[in-house]
Amino acid sequence: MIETTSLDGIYTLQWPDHISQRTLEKMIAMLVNDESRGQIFYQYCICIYVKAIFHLAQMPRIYKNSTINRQFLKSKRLYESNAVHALKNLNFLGHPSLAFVQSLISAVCLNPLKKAIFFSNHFSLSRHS
Amino acid sequence: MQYTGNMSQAWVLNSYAARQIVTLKYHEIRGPVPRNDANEEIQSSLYWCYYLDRTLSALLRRPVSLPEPLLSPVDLIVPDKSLPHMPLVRILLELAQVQGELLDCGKASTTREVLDNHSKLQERMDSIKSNLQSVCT
Repeated sequence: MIETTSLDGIYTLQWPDHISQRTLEKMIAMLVNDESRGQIFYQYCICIYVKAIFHLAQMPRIYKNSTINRQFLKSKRLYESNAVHALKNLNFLGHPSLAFVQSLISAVCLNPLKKAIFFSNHFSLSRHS
Repeated sequence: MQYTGNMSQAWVLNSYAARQIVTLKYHEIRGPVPRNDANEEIQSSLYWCYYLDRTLSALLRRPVSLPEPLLSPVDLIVPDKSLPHMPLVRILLELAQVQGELLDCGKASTTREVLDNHSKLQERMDSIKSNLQSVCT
């Protein structure tokens, strides 16, 4: 059985950022439906992976099982690598767009030190912490 | 970007975002802004970019990349009751404004100006502290 604290507090773990839940859903739907091509694909990938990385980073606060947490860590590393790959494929000479801005801000969030400063340590993110 | 924790790279990436925002004229948004998904996405990108710009620039002592938006960044926040941490985001933005002003303090040419800036920032920080205390209680 998975040892957890309380799952009903999972949404309180979510720190607000520039990608809202609705925006994230829209991006995921576009990728799943194979409606994104070229730069939009990479831009959405960065936003989605970074969101997933932050989500996974919070999981050890809920799940106490070390096997599960090792798997989360593995997935997190895979997502980091995929996000970096997508970032390397961005065309910085391309046309400016909202999706491009969003992906660049997400890319800034990839920085682990920034993560530590802005998303984890300053404030207690949940009642479980 | 290499996943190295390099703040300088983070600053460079955010400055690209800031330049795109300027190109798209998002920083010239004036209120009242009609509520729809597109505007909410633009507003949140603008204030997060502002926050990162002021904070990273203060940290690295580099010039800011994003001009001061026409609307105060705090007024760009879209209320979202599903996110209990939104009041803290407001405080982070107020702190980012102070960090941006700190960078300008070096431009003061007289002792009087330095002292005026100092007392203005002190007042702002006192107000942020009391806001933080009221959010945390």
